[in-house]
Amino acid sequence: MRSESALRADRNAPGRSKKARYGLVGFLFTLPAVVYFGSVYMYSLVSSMAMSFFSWSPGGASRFVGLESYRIILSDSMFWRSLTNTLYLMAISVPCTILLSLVVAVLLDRMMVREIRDALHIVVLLPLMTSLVAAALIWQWIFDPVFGVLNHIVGWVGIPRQGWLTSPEQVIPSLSIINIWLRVGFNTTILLAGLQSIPSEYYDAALIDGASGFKAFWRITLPLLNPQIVLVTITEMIFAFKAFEQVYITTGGGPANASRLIILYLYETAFKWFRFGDASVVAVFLFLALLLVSVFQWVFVRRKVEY
Amino acid sequence: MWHRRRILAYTATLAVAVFILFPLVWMFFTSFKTPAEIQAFPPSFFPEKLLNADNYREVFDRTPFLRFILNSLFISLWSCLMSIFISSLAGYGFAKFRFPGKEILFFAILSFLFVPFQSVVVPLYRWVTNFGLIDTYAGVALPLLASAFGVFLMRQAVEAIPKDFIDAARIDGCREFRIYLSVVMPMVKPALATLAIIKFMWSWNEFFWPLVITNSTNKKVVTLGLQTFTNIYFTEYHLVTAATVLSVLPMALAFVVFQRGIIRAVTMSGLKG
Repeated sequence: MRSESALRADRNAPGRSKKARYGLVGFLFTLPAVVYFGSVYMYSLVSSMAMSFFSWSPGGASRFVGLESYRIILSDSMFWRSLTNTLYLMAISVPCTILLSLVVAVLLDRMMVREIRDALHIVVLLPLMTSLVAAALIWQWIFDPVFGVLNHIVGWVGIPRQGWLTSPEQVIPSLSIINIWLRVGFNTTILLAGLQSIPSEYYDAALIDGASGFKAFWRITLPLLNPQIVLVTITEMIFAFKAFEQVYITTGGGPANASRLIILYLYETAFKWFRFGDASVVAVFLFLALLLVSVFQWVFVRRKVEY
Repeated sequence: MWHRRRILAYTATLAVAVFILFPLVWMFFTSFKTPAEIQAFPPSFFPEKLLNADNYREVFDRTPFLRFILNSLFISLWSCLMSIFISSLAGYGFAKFRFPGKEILFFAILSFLFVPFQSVVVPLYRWVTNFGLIDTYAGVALPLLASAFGVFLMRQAVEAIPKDFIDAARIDGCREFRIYLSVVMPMVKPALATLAIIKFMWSWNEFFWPLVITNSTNKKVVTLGLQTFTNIYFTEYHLVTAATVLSVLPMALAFVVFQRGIIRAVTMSGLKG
């Protein structure tokens, strides 16, 4: 490896200027990305926070109003309603999605027949290729109270027609079903990767100790799968929190504001009522909420990764 | 015990498959039914005339759907290409060079993985309006040109390249950009493919931003076009399903072709932690 050290010595010989030149080159390579993110995203994020302290007229003029917009938003019952609706959606869709994804991941992991395993994996990933809008429209058709096929099917077992997306009580659970349908594939893939990385020696050792089947799953698999489970949970929480297309294109927030979600609230405040200042408050709130969730994930995952 | 487990497993597999596939199949068949068939009770599973193109014809008559598809294609391809370019350049810079502030810049970019798009949409809208990019292709494509995920992915990929290759090229007198093109890029092809697939998928399925930015019909993308056949009064399901099939078809085709790549892409996008 003499040539390598000679290389290094060569690089260092001219000293700082060559190092500096390489540093500059490196920086220039990152420049397009830095400029892009700086001007498009960073600038917008900071603007969002700044905008929340002003009141904006359609012409573009602004007036400093301090915390007035915050007061308006925080005292708007629709804001809180949107928030609770969104949390309700999260409370249903996240656990159900994770559970179903876990079941499918275990199925895939244990499946002996390769063709069926690959086929099932592809199948659960199919909904990912549909846009949220397309998925929502497909399910709206299935959920249709009069002509939809779901009411027809539940009729076979004697259940009367349900309102699904048109019923205030059922709209959020129905939206959850759409979320679950969409997200199973993604989470299954992550969990499967985690399952496949657990060395089989652990199971062998457990068998020797007399633990098998369900006990082995509970005591070995789940704890070792913890990082992936946490990752998947946080991802699903963020996805449910950001739900917009599904309600915009189907229920529009109804019936009776039962499906008014927080992003819909943001959208309408900004682009229907053109209250940019107030919308920015919601934007800031959104950013802080998700930041909290992400930080929580980072801390949590680092603690729990035990081997 | 063995057999019971097996039966349970296969039943569960079947149930899951039905749950996932039924909506897609149902949508597909509905797109060939006439309004009368759709409203029939009890509803029939198969359409009377398979591959009945009436609904599709009406979709193309009523809206410039082909234009929508082309718009989506244009935006998605553009986003894909720019992403590959910007992310790989940055990935190379972050992975193989050292300069002051490198880590800060990297984490600053990465932090946007956590920032929801909706938090930046209002200022971005003003930004785009002030630059006169409202209702233009450039305006629609703007937020899609690069992703934090892409930068992260490419940095990881480039980091795996042994330094010797690059050093050897330098000794041979290769200019830096040439090294990037001829040495680095070919060695990170799988990551590039992954990024391309993900970016294309994300851009194709975009709705929120095009909704905000687009006004004129001929700039609309496919996801916006789907809105045409549904309103608060009623939904024309025979047309909606036809339009939905059209919007899903390109992605479905790509899916069948790039199966392996997509599974790998999904795995990598989730393991970004």
